[in-house]
Amino acid sequence: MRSSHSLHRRLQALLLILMAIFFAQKLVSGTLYFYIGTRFGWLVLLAVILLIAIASSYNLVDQQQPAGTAKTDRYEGNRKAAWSMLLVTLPLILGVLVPAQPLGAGAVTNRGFAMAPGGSESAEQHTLAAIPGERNLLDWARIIHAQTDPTALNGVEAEVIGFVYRGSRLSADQIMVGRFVITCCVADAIAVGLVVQSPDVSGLPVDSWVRAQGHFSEGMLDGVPTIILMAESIQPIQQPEQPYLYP
Amino acid sequence: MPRSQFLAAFVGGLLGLTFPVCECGVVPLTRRLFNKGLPISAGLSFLLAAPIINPVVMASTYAAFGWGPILIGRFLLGFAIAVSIGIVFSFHNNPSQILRQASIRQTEDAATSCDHIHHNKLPLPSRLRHAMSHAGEEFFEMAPYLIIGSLLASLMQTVFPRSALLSAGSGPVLSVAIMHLLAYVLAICSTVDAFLALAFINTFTTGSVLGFLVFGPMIDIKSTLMFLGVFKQKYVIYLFLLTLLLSMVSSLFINLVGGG
Repeated sequence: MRSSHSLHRRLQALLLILMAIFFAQKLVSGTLYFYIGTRFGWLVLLAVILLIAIASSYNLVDQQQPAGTAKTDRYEGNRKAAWSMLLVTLPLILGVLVPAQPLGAGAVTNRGFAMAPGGSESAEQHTLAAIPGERNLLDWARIIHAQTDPTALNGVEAEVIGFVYRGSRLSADQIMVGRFVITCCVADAIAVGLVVQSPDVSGLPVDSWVRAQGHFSEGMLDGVPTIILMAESIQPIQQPEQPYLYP
Repeated sequence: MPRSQFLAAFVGGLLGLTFPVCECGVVPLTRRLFNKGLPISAGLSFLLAAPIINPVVMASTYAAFGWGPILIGRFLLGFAIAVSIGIVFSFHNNPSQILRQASIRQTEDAATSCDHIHHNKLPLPSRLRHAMSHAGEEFFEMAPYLIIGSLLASLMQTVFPRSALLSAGSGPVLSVAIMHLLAYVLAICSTVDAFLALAFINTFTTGSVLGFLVFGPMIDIKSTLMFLGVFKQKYVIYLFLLTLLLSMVSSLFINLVGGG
């Protein structure tokens, strides 16, 4: 039984090393930030170091099963250890087999667009203080949400980047240009979007990334007066390196 | 720790101020504290209160909602529910009745096999290696529960029709049920859930948003799985039902008496 206990510890050390390599690869490739906020990168680096340190300690500390452990208990212990290792392997396998992909139009279907994107008071002040030319989609979504008059932004110029989303409420010449806003990780992601109108939107594939430039005007969304970005140009672009916005 | 179970539950509810952990981190920590002899009442009130009553969550709730009824209500209600449940469970103050045998025995085994008293006499590098080795054992003990819980939570995040549910109703009673269900299945970290709740405040009742901010950090789909690694199954069900009941009744009371 000593040998099976020792084998478990070797396998556990191997799993810890594989997990460290997995996280390090995600960190270096930048795909880690498809799942968590950029400010947590250092924590993942710390986790990589600790996982390696723990795996190394397994080779240096001879952890024996206590003497006199009953045979049934040893069997139960081995069975539990095997299940535990199998379950720890599962996210590693999924992480390797499933290509890294950020949240996009598919995730909007069950989450919906947020009517009032969450943000702190200082974030609101930051939005208002931002130079109009530097405002991103979240800034504009906040400004539009604060308006009660659909003509309030008539003529104001804007340029936004986001993914293409099509919903049943949109007409043929309208799309939603959306971005996900994350605070901590994708679990708390909120989608924000702008209605963009142009005769050129019809050929744009769902979930592709675009840069839309134009001016705001009062338009109709499903029969309701709404602030809409009338696009003068709408160009397909590559997915940005950092697809999410931060409040 | 005070000898009185009532006082112990009270102190346990405030321990989060010194251990700023969310609902994932608090479970293995509580398990270790139980192993070190923390009374059931204090351990349970700590387990439930720490993801709310801690400086990080206070700061994020303040950033999202400012000084007002949501901030004050979240902490008072969270504390009151956690301490009440700690007191209720204190009537069962035999840890072996509530905690899983494997968790208790595992520590006793570790104590026998590694001789902790002996550890203190080892040089620092050896002590660090032993600490790392113990951390590894703890990881493989708790990781399976966390992984299954996270898988379930991500499945819910992907397939659960959140937008349909949110448009289903915002009345004083239905909103409370919907927000409790959302808090449970979405399993959002207590350190950031206030920002998400902010998006609901205009369309949902105050009581239901408070319920979301109180119930979610205490028990969600992920932490339920982790609780199963610490408590016997029967007590996880009691814990879930009691917390849900207290949180829903409090939210309904706020809506019906306070005008939502």
